[in-house]
Amino acid sequence: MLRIFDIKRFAIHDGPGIRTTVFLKGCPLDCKWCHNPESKSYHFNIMINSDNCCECLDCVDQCNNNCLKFIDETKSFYYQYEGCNECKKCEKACLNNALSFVGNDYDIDLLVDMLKKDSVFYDESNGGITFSGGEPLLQINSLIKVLKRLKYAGFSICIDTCGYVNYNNFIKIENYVDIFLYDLKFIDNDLHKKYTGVSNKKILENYIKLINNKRFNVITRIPLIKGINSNEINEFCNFLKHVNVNEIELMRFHKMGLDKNNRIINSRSLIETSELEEFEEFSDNEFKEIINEFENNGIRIL
Amino acid sequence: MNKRVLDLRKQSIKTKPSISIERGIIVKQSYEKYEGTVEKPILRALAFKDMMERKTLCINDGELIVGEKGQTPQNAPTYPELTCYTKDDFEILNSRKEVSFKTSKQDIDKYLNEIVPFFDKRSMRKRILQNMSSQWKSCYKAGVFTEFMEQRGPGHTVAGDKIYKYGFKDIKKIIKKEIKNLDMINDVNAYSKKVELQAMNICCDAIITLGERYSRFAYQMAENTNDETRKQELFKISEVCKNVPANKPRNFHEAIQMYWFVHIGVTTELNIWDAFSPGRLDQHLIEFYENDIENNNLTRDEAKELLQLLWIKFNNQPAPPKVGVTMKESSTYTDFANINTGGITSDGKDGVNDVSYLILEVMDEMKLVQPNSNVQISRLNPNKFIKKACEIACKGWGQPAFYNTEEIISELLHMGKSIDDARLGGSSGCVETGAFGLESYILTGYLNLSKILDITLHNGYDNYSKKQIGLKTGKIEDFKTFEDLKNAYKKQLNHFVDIKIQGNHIIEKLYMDEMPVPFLSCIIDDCITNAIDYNAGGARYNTNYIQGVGIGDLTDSFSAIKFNVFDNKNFELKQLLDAIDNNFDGYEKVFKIVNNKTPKYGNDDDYADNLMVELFKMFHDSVTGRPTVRKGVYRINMLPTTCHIYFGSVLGASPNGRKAYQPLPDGISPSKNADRKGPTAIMNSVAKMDHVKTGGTLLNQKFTPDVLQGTQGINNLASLIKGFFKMNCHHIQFNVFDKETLIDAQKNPENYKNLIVRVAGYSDYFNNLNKDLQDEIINRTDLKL
Repeated sequence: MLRIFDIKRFAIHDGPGIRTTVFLKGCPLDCKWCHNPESKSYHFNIMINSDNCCECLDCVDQCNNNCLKFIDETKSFYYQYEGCNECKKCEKACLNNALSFVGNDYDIDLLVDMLKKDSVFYDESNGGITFSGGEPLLQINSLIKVLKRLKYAGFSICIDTCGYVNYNNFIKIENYVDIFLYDLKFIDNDLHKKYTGVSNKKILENYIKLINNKRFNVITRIPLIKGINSNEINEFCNFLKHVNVNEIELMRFHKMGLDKNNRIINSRSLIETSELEEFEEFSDNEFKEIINEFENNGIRIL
Repeated sequence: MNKRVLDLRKQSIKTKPSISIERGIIVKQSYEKYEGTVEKPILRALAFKDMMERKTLCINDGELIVGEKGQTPQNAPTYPELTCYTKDDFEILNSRKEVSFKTSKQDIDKYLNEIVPFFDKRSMRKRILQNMSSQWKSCYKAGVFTEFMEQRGPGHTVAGDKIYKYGFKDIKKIIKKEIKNLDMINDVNAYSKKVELQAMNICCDAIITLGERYSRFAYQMAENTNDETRKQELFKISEVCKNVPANKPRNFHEAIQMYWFVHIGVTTELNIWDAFSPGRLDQHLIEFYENDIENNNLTRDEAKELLQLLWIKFNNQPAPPKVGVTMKESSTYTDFANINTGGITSDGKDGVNDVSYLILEVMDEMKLVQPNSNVQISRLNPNKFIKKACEIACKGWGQPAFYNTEEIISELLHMGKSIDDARLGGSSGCVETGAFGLESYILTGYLNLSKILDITLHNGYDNYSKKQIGLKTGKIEDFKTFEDLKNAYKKQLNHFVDIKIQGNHIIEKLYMDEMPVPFLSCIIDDCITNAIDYNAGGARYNTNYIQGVGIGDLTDSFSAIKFNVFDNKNFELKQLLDAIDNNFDGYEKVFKIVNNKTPKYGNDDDYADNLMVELFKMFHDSVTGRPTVRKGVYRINMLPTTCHIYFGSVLGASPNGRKAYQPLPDGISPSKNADRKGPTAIMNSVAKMDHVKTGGTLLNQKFTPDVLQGTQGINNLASLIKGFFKMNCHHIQFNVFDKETLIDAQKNPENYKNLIVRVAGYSDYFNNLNKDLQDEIINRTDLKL
């Protein structure tokens, strides 16, 4: 069983070709800019798109376990995952599709069947299946079972990881993975702690081990956030040169995902909306300049 | 694009469409002169001869390929023997918002006073409508089906390679030989055959005359011009027209002019649908091209220019305007000349050649609505070709459409064509499969599949026309199981197909007897060797198509009933019926359930998709294999042109939540807003249909520009197409959302529930984003286009 919050077909930016990306729930990091904030907690969440909600409260009525409540005083929903049996009656009851139940415990057979559906397109595009998250390696034991099945069936597999896991987890799946998409956020540990909630020590150690291990194919990715880590280009370049990596992917930050923060009922993250508004997007020119900066330092942008 | 092409293109686009009464007058005078004194085929041939001898000639400034269907560019001829315009028609055509057609007051008067009194009662439209049963008329008025032939001839076909191998002098020799070989004693049909062959012979003379007239006309123009360059060009035109169409073309230029004379001939002889085209143009032209290049008679640029000029010729011909229901259901006014590029050769090898690439370049640069260019993609074609085609498609103006060569061949083989004939076939019109140069494959009308469900739910009563037009297959209370409902639908479907086909039989017979097309019969084999007219079954293959419209809406409606009424008991069928009868007013909950909580076709969900497969089979079985008067068979295809809008406009709300009078989904596309899982899921759903049992299916896909951006975008598109075709699907075409669409989506989110936009490292539904973010994307989209 794998706990998943989304499966996206025709994913064209998560590794080579046309892919299906499986987003696993739960992440050890708490990046403030995360565009999938519903991925952070391993526990189920409920998201409410208030634009569509008519406050009929049919969802609350349907909850036999009293996990979903509506607080009259604050006019807001309250959800506790303890006691929730994942019946999803709340979601079914929401005829406006305003409420989404985030998190689905997939049976492995069912998941594998589902992931095979676009085989013909993987085949034509040299694509395949990507596991992302959250952090997919947090659910390593179930993940291995799925990866084995898919690899034996001949699929190309990518793992999109934040690296904040026990290195042994990489070794466990090395035979079933074609490419690791490895995300680096900061070289500076203090900044890393400040913006992601954890130290990058383990992340960088794992990274170096991975890229020095010839059995692994690693694509380095940097999510670039204006004013947050975009002033750290030199640090990135020095580090990458130091470890002999000369090409990376840059992921340009867009505000779009932040909106989802407001929809998660009592989410784990304590990010304030006001804080989110600080994030800005790059103009095309600014982004071009950054690409130049990397390339002038001998780092090719894929 | 050089200046010549630019200027002519501008003329083609800028000129306002108009109507010419010239053809109407000539045909009237021919009928007055000959009608009753000669057999019908001869009468039609003599009328054609008069047209070719008297038609106004037109050589536009700078052009190298000559000939217009009307008197000038954008000038549509009149075909009063098919249908006569009324005073009101002229007024509507003159003033309406859509493409308007101007006619001078003098011409209108002349048309109404001279032509109409003569042809009014004789016109095919009158005769057809007179002969249709009251049942047929009720269904026609209710919008259960349409009828193509009530104002256009049954001409749907495409030219093969014959006209590049034989001139009309050669064809005359073949005809004469056939006449000589007739067994006037033992063959009891020999006389009709002789008459038909004589008529064909007259038509050959007629088209030769048109060529000679153009040759002389160009010569005179040359002598009268002081511009030395133009003088030489006009002499060249004169020389070309001296050779073709009388003789077979000797070079690339003559080959194109040959086709164009044939096109003018076929479309002037009768208004035969609007789909006549050169078909596999790259296959036809490659030998001429290679010879000319080898002998230094032509450069690549000159070849490209000639093709561009041919493109302009196509674009210069507006389809003759229609009237009444046919105008409503087919609000489009372009022809449907669909040129097939790529595919395979007659001996089964990769068909992509230098001319294929030239055509792609021409298509890309010309950006004209006509001809409607497509590519046939075979697994034998090089990747370079597919990618070049994708590169153009990524620009997002809808061309080229993509067809699956292997699927087309399978369809043709399934219909009983030989492998050699199948390899030379393709798709024409919108997506219709045919053996080019060898087949008469006629679209007889669209069938409103969704409406038939509505009528079933009302026990045979049509809410729109307020009439009992269907069978009494039971009240909804009688439907104890889902099977009961399906059986009732099946009965109604067969009932309406019966009515449609009864009408078709009469129409087909009327055209056989009254409207032979001896000129077209010279072009399409085996009319000459059979000595039978194209309209009478002379072609090697004869097929009648009925086009099903609304399978996506129908499937989702059945799904809404099965899921909510029978499987989950969310509500009674009666409640759903009340809801649709009230356009869901006061039935908000039912509306939301069927819209938001019910499985829908297009999501790779077997619950809905299996219903589609079943309903498709029902439609297929009700039509396929029935005999036609011309000794062919009926088959289906799944295409709407613009009829899905008309069919929606005559239909109340659907059980799937479609509101009253809203359009049905086009072709085999999912219902609007039904698909939520992206393009691969749609393709998987669509692939569950058994395409090989159709004569063509149509799928439209929409993308935002960023999905198709850059080399990666082109590669992704190519992979999608190849994957889709691997699953044995027939056709796909792409549209790219523009800024205006996104702005509209922001204003009317309910219409764009399935609009996916790429956000950052992921995609999301446009509706899911807040206004600021939407603005962001709107601005971004503008930059990328």
